[in-house]
Amino acid sequence: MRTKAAALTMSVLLAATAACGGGHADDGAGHEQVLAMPDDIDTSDGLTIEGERIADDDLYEAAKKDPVVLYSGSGQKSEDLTTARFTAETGIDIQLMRMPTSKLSERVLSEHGANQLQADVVRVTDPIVAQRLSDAGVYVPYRSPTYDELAGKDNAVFDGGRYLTSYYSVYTFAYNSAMLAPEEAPKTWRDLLDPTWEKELGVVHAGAGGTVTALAAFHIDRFGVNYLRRLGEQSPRIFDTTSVQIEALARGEISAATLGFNSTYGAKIEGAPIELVVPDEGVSGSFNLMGLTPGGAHSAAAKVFVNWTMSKSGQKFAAAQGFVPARTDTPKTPTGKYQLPSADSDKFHLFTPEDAEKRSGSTVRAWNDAFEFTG
Amino acid sequence: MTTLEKRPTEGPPARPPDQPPRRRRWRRPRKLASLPLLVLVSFLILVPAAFVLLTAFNNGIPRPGNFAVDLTLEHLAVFTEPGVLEATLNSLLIGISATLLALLIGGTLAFVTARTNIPAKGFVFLIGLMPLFLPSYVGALAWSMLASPGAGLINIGLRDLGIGATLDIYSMAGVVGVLGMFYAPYAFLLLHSSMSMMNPDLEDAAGVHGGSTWRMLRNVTLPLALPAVLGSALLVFTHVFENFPVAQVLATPGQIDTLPTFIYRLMNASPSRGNESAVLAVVLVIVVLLVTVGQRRILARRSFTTVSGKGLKARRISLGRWRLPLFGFALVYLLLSIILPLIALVLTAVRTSPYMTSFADLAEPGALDFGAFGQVLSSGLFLDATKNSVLVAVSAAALGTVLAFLVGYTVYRTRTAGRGLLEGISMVPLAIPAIVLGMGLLWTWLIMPVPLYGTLGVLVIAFVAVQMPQGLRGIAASIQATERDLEDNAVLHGARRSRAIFAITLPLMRVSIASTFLILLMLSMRELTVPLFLYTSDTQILSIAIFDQFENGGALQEAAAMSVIYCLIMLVLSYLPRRFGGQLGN
Amino acid sequence: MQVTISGLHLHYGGFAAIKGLDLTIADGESIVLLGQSGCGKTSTMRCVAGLEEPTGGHITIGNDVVFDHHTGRAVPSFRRNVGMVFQSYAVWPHKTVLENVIFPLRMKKVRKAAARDKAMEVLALVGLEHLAERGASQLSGGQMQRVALARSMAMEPSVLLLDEPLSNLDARLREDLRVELRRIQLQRGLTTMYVTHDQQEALALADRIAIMQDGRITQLGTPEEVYARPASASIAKFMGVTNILPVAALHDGVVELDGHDVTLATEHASAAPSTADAVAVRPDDIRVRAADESGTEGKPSSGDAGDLAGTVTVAVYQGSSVRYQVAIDDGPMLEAICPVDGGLLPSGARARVHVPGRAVLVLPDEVPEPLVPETVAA
Repeated sequence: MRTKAAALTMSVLLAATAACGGGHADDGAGHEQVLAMPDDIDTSDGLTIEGERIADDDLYEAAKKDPVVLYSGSGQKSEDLTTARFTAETGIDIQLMRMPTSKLSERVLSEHGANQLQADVVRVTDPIVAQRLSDAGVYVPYRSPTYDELAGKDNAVFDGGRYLTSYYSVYTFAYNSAMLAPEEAPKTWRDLLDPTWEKELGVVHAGAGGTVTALAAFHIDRFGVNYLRRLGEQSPRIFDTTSVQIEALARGEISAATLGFNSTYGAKIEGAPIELVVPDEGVSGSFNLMGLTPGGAHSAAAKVFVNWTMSKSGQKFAAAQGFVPARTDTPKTPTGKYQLPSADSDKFHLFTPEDAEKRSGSTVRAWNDAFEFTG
Repeated sequence: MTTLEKRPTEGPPARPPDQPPRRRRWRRPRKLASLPLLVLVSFLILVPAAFVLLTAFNNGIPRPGNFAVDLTLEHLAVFTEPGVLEATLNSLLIGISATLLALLIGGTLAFVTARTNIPAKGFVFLIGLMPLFLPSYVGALAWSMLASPGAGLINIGLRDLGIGATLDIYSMAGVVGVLGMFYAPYAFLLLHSSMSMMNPDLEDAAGVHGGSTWRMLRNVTLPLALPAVLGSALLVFTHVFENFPVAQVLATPGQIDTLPTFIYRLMNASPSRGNESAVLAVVLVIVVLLVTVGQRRILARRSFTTVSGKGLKARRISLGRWRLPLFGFALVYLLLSIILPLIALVLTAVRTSPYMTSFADLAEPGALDFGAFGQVLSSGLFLDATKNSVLVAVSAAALGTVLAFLVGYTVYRTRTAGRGLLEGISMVPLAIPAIVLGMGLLWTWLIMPVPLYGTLGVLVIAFVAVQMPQGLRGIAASIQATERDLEDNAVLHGARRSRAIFAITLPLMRVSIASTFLILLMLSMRELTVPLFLYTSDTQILSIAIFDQFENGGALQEAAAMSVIYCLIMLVLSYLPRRFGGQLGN
Repeated sequence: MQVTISGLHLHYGGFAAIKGLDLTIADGESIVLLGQSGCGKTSTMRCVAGLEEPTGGHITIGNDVVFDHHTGRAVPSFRRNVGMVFQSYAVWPHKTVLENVIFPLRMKKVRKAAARDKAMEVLALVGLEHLAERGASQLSGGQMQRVALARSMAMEPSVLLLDEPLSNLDARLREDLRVELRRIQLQRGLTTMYVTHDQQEALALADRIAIMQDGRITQLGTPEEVYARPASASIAKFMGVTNILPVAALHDGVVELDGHDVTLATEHASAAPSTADAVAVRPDDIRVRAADESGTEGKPSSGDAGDLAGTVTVAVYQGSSVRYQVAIDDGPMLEAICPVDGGLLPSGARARVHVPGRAVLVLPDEVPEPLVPETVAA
């Protein structure tokens, strides 16, 4: 009887709140803030955006019926924006489940092993994980319309087309613009070693994921292992995830932090007082890899999603968010007032899958040593 | 349930030793009466635990489709990692300190509400209870907003007032304080229930025979409350020891490692180091099992029957000049555990800019936007998550209470073989960190042919399994303290055992059953770590949604707004059982 | 020590539990408060002990005023030096027998060795010295009762209070302990107040009995007085007088029973109260003999208003006595207890019933308020 009363009251409460404003809020509504919608979306015969064919008629009609289920290890905010943009441009529904890559791979492998994999598309930020998924049969080969072009490049298409690079993540640093005037702010990586920043910095520990391992490798390659040691001597606050770190930066708990570009940019355009820096010494890059699952291979909507991601429009949107597009034939798109290097620039230090395989362990160890970090 | 009907009150009176036991007539094996329960509980709890154990000593993770048993000891090397020892010591230190704090707070509040003439007793009872509906994760988040050394609201306030002191919540003291505060209600409920049931004569006798109020407390009240004290101490300790969310939010930023966060980090490492986490988990299990066994030993030796059939109300002790100070203590607790955190959450939710130098900033136009609440309330995510949370919580609490009673009855009221085992198994979830248990549950229910994975049903089952210990403890102290005779009396008068239980024992225990249901309801609504592995995009519950918003999305403002609404929902939910239970309890 | 209670009132929640009670207990005297549940006897005791705070009145123990409503003085129970044996014994289960008994001594700061000796001495008095180290929760009911008693005696109380001390014991034990209690009380000269609803217990233990009804004392007297001369029909009933018969009229020592065509003689007519509501006759005083074989139908002999004829309906053999229920012709049902040597009459036999005048008490239904203390109405 108690439970009935509780349920009754809850229902009343819920009904009341629903009445206050029902429906689904568009969590990624800010996508137009990031980049204006393309002018030219043609749905008369399949789907064509800005002159590029995304899907033919049959595929497009079939795609409109079911949503795409996307499991992603990429940042929440950017995925929200991306998925919202996808629906806006194509009219196809998409469901996102976002988890950190390591948890995601656990989940995906488990579901796959039990034949209960619900995802159509899986996106991860760690090449080692991607290969493992591929080996386990989570990824199946697929060729999007731009396949041939991509296949010709390095580090774009992998394992016989089972997974590909949607775009690259960039890791750089940023500071709290409400606390620091532009003159006071750090401008280069070396600036971060200045004693002013002792105990004022934030970093994510290198073992947390591919993106941060990539940054550590970049530091070692570009400046030598000593850089890490000196950065460690700054006694920065060590975080487990970027998002918590961004929040701490926005609040002013720390003045500056090394962090992923796109998620920080996302926070910035939502109003966080953060200034990003694209230092001349360069930035590190890591992969955002995606592929279709066996379920996805039968889903028209999933295929359209992959096609769209690799289309000019999709790649432009990624760039506008703060990623480096995989395709190098798209026009250079700024990210707000920033301009990231393109994938073939020498300022862009990519941590390749071979690098990952060979050096991940030692890089993380070196980092842990330098920052006296256990675990 | 058939189990109960088959069981006799006690064995037949002892035969004189020279008579040979009768063997001719085959009796239904009484000793197996606990079997159905054993099987059920084992399945619920041991199978996931077994997966964890296996993983600790297996090469590779036993995932469906990857189920190869290939044992190895190499994962034990994790103990040689430098951080492990420190993390363990930290966990122990925090565990003990926070438990003492929780007992102090909860015990004091329980005592003043159950036995004294403190003003506004009903209100003080609520104070003791309220932090239960603020999940420890949300509480930690709020305290992080309040007292983070750089931008904490209290620190900003202190700066505004010109006071130079700075609070740093990212410290041992901070973690212990928050944990103690938010786990005090457990101790409070158990101790209150025990103290309400105490035979007042026992205390009156002390008073009459020359014992001042203080002496009476020391000699009679407190020792008699020992089962409840030990029970709640054990419960709080293991909760604190394995608590992940508070440690993650408050200890990690201070570079204080605890075992759960260490395990979490291992599991989140890329590639995931699930095997090593499982090894550490096994250690945790051993530690807590030892503690549980020790506690049972201590309690088995003394009979602490205090509830007799007299139906007398416990005596009110006059507090004299301590009345107002103790009431003040309750108010301070309310302030620290509920009021300040809620203020912090609301402020964070409505601030348009996350950055604030002084409270004067809030006076600026456009600095506050209450629309954030409306946005959250109307989001599909929130509505779905709420609906799911409530359904799951109510089902899990109801099922859990029933199961706890059945198990508690079997363990503490009968002499069937295997009941020690039953209790042991029921306590196992306490010792397995929720995150690792969550993993075990994920694998179990992925592999099971029953299609429960991906539904709310699997969440309910997971919650029931994970909360067995709390349910059992809630029932246990009360069953131990209720005289067997009362029920036996009914049986002798012709009632079947089950009828006697329904008519006599259950009503006598209504206070503790109501509080057990309440505890389980709260726990289910709060449960964050276990469903972290089990939820799918359409079975999100509120606690997950909040965590997700913050940890994965960095959306502190949304997380704060959701938390506030979440707390309001919890408030409503907590009021109802209390109201009905209170009617029953008086 | 002497205990004086005057004008005691206890109200809570609109209910008056004690209504203006006066009682003086002499030093060394044993008073029993006798009454049904709800009459206020336990409340009175708890007021003396300091476990309840009265709403009016005055209590002194010895020379100390422990409670005075006018001055607002209320000494807490732990300072009154009052020992109490609870109905539930309230023996602390988590302590040993010795620890239980030694408690009051420790509270008085008696040195450990001396306290132990005293405790053992008191335990010997109740015959439990061999159980000193036993955990108190492992005792039987009778043993617990004795531990409770020893505990109270160990503190050498000014007053010893016992709340239905024997009601939880089986009959045999009860009788034995009754004797024990009385012996110890007399031997030690303890001022004692018992509370009980059992009139046999009251008769055995009391120097004086105070009958309590509805929050006040309705009769106060020695056991003999209360037994032989209950002050009202309700008290008589309570004391085990089973023949309570309503009165229609009373004149010149003859009682006409209401609703029956029967008269009884009474020798208490001169002392009869203005309201003669009922007569009470003890079964022990009624004689039942077989009706004359001469066949005379038992017409009452002249002048003897208590000579009746009737039929035996039930005859219960009790060993040394027989309990009869006799249906009087045109009269009520009377109960009689006769010695067996008078011959055993079977059920259905005709009998002659003699109700002697001295045994017929004429009483009001209830004792009128307020009661004049220390006098006994007949």
